[in-house]
Amino acid sequence: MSQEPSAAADLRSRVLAAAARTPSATRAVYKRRVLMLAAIGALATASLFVAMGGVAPGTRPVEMIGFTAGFGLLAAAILTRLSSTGRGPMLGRPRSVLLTAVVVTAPLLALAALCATMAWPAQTAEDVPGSVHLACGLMSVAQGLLPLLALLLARRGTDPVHPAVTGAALGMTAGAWAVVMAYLRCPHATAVHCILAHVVPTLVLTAVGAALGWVMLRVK
Amino acid sequence: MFALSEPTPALPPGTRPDLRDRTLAVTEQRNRKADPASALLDAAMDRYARGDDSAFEEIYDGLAPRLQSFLLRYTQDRARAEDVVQQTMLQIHRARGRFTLGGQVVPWAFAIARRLLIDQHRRGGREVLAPSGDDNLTQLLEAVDARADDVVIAKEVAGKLADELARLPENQRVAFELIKQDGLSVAEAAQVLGTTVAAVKLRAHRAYEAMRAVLTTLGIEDDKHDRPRRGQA
Repeated sequence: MSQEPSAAADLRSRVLAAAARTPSATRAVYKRRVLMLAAIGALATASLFVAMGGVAPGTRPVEMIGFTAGFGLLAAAILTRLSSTGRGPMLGRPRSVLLTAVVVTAPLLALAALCATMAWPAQTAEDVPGSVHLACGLMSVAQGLLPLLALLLARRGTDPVHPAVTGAALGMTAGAWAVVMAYLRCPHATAVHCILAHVVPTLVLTAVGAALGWVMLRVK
Repeated sequence: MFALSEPTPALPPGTRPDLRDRTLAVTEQRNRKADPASALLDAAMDRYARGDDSAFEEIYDGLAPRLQSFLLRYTQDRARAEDVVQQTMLQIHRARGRFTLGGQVVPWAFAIARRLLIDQHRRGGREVLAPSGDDNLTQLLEAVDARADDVVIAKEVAGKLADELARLPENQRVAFELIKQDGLSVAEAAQVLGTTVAAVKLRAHRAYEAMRAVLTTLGIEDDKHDRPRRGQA
């Protein structure tokens, strides 16, 4: 019977000694690291955006660019808020909330693209070859990967509950930011192109986010 | 004009409370109303996240016994349970900077422990045993000098309840155990399981109804006060 208290005391002293031996980052240090990571991620993404041509309105009216990029910006802002833990619960949002956000965003972005082509029909007569869809889609994926990596690195090893779902949500968040950049840099405005080259890459980034999230976000 | 409220004891002396600190104070006060022990742990964790190393002992003393009893129920192996408690506490130590302002440490710690236990099970292929309180019950009844036939009846009832609990779907069983046996609130259990409060309430209620049905079959009256309280949410 007397073994239990001594075992508990032994465990306590072992844990406290191990904690004292290995210093860990306080909140202030951690915040600085996250801010630095966010700044590097934003700078790298902006540099890539400029390197890929920057803003290219083509023949699109400013209102159309504002509508499509604005819708993407709204989706990106909401997703960033949902998938962050800054002021929210310590363990992130419930699985159902994240999954709903992930599942609903791509169809909404596609719907916004369709609405834009209906509102500005003059822009839809253009014939865009398949190779352009592919090249633009690859650019969207590349532009989304940098913010995705920054988001994943900032939250590395922090999700003991549903790391793959959180990773998917971060992937969709990065995808939504990539959509904003795609609408700013891509002069093509047909619905098919917008869906194939701007919206479908969000699904690719979601899948990448889920896979990387399982590896990087889980508590080990 | 308005006056700023007094800083809470959790704030370092001499620090002028800014907006974030005032948010923390409000959250702390709200938590303290819900569960004073958890609120004190949250305040200690917050101090630890800010750099007060001495707060770790307080966090350990508040969390380790609860974690150990939770883990022992699943492993039935003291060494394994202690191993996971150690890993969980060190994980909390390593991740202290990530503890969010006004966050809750109890569900965080339980979620980490549960994840480590599941991973250990997957890696080693070792079986996570079904929870059982049979030995504890026998010890308890012997300690209070219960009559032999009472011990037999109590063990029979406990056995039937344990069988029913083991038959329940895992999500219902875990929700029930976190609330009834580990003393977490419904909101805390929802965080540990990564689901909504409504879903946990429903799962725990279904488990509770199954337990009640067993008691009714055995002819034992259910105490209505034993139902999950709304205030726990």
